[in-house]
Amino acid sequence: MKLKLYKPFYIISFSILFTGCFNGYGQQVNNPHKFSADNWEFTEWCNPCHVHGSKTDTSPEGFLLSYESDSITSTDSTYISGISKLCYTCHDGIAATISHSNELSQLKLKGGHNITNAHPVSVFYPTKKRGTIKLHNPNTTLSGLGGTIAEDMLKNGRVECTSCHDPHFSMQTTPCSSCPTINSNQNADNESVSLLKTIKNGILCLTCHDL
Amino acid sequence: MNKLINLYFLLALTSAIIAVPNKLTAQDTIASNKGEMAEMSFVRWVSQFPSTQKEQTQKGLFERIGKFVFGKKPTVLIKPVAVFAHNPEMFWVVDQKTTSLALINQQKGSSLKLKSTNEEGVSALVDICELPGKGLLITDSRLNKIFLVPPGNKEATIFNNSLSLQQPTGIAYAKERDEIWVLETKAHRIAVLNSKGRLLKTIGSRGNAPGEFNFPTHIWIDRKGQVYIVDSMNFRVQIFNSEGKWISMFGQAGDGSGYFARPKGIATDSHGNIYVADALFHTVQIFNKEGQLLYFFGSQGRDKGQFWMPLGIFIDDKDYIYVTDSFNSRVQIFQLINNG
Repeated sequence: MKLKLYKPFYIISFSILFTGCFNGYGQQVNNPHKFSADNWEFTEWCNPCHVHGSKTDTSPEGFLLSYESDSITSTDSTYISGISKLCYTCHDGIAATISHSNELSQLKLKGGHNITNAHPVSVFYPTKKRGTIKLHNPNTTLSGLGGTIAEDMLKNGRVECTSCHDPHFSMQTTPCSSCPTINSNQNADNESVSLLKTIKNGILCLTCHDL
Repeated sequence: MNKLINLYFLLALTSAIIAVPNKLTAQDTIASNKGEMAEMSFVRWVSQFPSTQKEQTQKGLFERIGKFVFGKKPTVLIKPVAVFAHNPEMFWVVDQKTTSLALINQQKGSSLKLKSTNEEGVSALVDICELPGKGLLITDSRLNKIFLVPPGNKEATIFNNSLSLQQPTGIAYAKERDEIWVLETKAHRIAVLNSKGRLLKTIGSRGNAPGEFNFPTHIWIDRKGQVYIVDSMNFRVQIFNSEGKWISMFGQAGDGSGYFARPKGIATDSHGNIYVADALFHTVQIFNKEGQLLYFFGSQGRDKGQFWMPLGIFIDDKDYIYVTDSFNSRVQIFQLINNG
């Protein structure tokens, strides 16, 4: 019943999204997340993450290949879940390599926290001070992207890859027109990989980290 | 016997279609597999390394003392990505996180850190195969190199340092022609090398037509010399003969049984059935030679028989199936049962 009620809404939404992707991606040449050759159908460009492959299943949940498990509490960063799993299944050193910019590698956080390898993902954003890690209140601190940290960057209260990266973002040309965070974001860093804000002078890091 | 096995699989497939929900969500597969595995057992869980998760994560007092006194670290897997095996008692595991090759012998492991004198930059080890008489070959997708670990040698060397590859990933040895087949993921092609590492030819280019590739990542060559390629971003498996001539293909993107979301490791058993690990489904799907789904096993989780982003798969001569369960930091071993 719930699906029937919302089906028209989903169909319209996805149509807009696809159209947006087409318009936006049509201008892009060097987006690292464009998984196809230039002359391919636009739906193939989005296929790896947005797919309706199961012919019998047209439910909206089948649209985004993101898998969650209620049985697992993902406070352990060794167990990637949610939207980040979608990223890690390609960024596994096989289909795609994981790399951080030199600026991130050189970044030293107060307290000696080492994030040169990778920032933890699929972890809940701590609301209280944990050890020497001091963070801004996500519910009251503005992200610089239009709302608070919780609204703009956290996914169900968790830090995920998409808290800092937007895979739709083009590195060298016009950003995807259907990506609201990018379009309204004046701090986007065109030289870094899909970052929501520039990493220069630690601007992205300091959004959450209170040093 | 092959016909009997295929009949057995087809009967099982019929049961699976009736009993197993079509959509492979985590919750569904956990629920269905737990109930169905006992009845439809084509694959038997055999063992895992490390034998327990506790062993993997917690070090005992004596182990810690031993480490303090002797400075010897126990073999611990963090992110296993590929396996080469003789049998369940003796196999090698490539660990991408520790950049090492672990030899697992009778559930005891010893690791070799893969660093050569001319190595530069950051490593990302991917796959392994045996080059008979010369050792083990291991691809590194970031260094764009292949490591050679000679038998009994404790030091890895670069295999033909003059060889130029673009993101080498899957690797397999073609016994019939004494060739090494390496996938160049970034170049969307296969590089065929002779046993000394000299490039003989390349096969394929970027595209989605038969014989073309879009980020090929894993390869398997069966005992007849037939080559199976996981064409990951085309969400399909392509099959070639030993000369590189295209034969057939199957698979498409989707979230249902028999589709591919993140196809990874590939292998075939002695009956010619094709096994493909899928990192997003947390399963291994088994297809017949025509590409029809026969069965799948695994679901998201940490228990025996469950996976968290499985990557590599290897099947030995006795149909033991080795799966690198990457985010569970272990290798699980299964066996095809009723295989005569």
